[in-house]
Amino acid sequence: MKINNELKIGLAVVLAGVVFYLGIRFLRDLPLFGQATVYHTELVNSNGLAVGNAVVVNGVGVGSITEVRLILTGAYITFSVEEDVALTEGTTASAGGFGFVSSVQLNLTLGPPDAPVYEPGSLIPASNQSDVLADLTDRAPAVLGRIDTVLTGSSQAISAARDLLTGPESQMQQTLASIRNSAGAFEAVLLAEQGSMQAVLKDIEQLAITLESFAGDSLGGAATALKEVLVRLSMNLDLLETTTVELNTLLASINSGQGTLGKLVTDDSLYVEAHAASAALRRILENFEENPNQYLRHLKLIDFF
Amino acid sequence: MPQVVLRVAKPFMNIGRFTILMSSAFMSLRELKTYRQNTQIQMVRIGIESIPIVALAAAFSGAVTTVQTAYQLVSPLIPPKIIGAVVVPSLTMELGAVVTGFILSGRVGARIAAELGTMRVTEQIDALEAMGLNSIGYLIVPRVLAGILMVPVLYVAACVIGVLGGVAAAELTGAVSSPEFILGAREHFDIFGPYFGLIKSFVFGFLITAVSCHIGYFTEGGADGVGRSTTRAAVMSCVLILIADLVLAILLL
Repeated sequence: MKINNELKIGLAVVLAGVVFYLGIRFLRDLPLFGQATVYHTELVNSNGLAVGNAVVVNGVGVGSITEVRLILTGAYITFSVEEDVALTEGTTASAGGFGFVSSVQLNLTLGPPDAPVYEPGSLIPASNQSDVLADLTDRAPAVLGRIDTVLTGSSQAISAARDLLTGPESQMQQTLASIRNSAGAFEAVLLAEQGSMQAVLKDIEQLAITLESFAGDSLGGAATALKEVLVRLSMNLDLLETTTVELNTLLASINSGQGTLGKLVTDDSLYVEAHAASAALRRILENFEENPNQYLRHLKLIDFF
Repeated sequence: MPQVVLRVAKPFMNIGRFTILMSSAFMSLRELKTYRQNTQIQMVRIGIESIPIVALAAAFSGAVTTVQTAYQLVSPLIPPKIIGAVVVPSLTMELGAVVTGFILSGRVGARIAAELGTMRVTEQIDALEAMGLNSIGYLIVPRVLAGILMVPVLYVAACVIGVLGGVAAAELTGAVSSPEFILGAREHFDIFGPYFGLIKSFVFGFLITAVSCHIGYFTEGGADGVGRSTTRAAVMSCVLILIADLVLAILLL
């Protein structure tokens, strides 16, 4: 069948028109054949939102922006979303998606699922969240102040370090000078005592030779004797440990008031009685010094017997 | 007139002759019904018969752009989906229209200039005039109109096939998966891009056909003149496409 020119041209033009229309809807993330629902929102700052930017719910593209218009209070945004996306009351809109490689988008935060659905063409309120750029702008003075403080502190620290290092009377300089003096004195001593040190080194060398010979003959016996001493010491330490344990037990008994010594330690009535007895004895002695005859008479009676 | 003055004045004379020719052509639009069949033939020759070569060029343009973008964007900081965000606007705003224009400059522009040039040197155009036919309305209007109407169709075909070629190249080379490619294209899609390309294609369609018609219609000499006109038509079309591309970008972006 020969296709005539009219049909060819008609098919080509219609196909191109349909493909162009569907292609744009596809790239705008709109449903190819279904209807899209149109809503509006007002943002104080659109942050560069433009026609064709995506409308996103929970990170999923659901539509695109169809109009951005400047108004006195900010920007009036018209956007369309897929028909099956229900924007319930409580839904808010905000501009987002800032980054090096991501474009700006309109983020929708959905309201409660059981809330009534907004009518098509409704005005979706803007989110109360301030935008990122505004946040950065607000924080900038404080951050700059802190940076200033840090830089001033750093500058002072560097200055102090420089003074410490380069000042003629700085501690570091004094320390270095002291070290330098000490090194000089040490060098002088070394030069002065070079002869003596050589003699000492010779003595040490002879001592080493002697020790070597001693090690060959007697070091084994000395080691054996030392081992025996250590064994005995170990036994004594064991005994000492046992004794210590017993002493601890005894002290615990005394502290808890057990036995005579414990009662003596813990019960103060004995101390009171002893104190009273001491006082009584002092009184008797005083009385004896005052009236010795009274007691001597009794002694005489004893002598008599 | 001295030779030097003639040489200096020739470009202006050509522009004037071109303007008069186009004015006559648009004045002849009311006779379009008379030349309807001729217009259909030209639309088929310029549009339908050019689809295969335009599709081939567009597919390879999309594929090469994808591969080169992937090659240049190797960085852990740049997600692969950016390839889609670069390739699709490149095709819709620039390559789709310009590649189509260059292909048609060679294929259509040269053919129009050769046809009209041959008719001129063989005095067929004079014969048409002698028969009382409006040669401009009969020969030029259908071709220019066909160019204006069919180049946008070819542009749409070039964009769709170019994007498909890009997706195929991305999948074949493993640079990026097709869903990621589409995701990047959607995230950074600017709706003005395709309309900008469409406007360009209208302008390119007019330039290619109108300039080729002008050069062919005023061909001088014999077969040699036809050959020169053919070459001039192809070269002038390409040059004017580049100039128009820049001017439109400055004016519309």
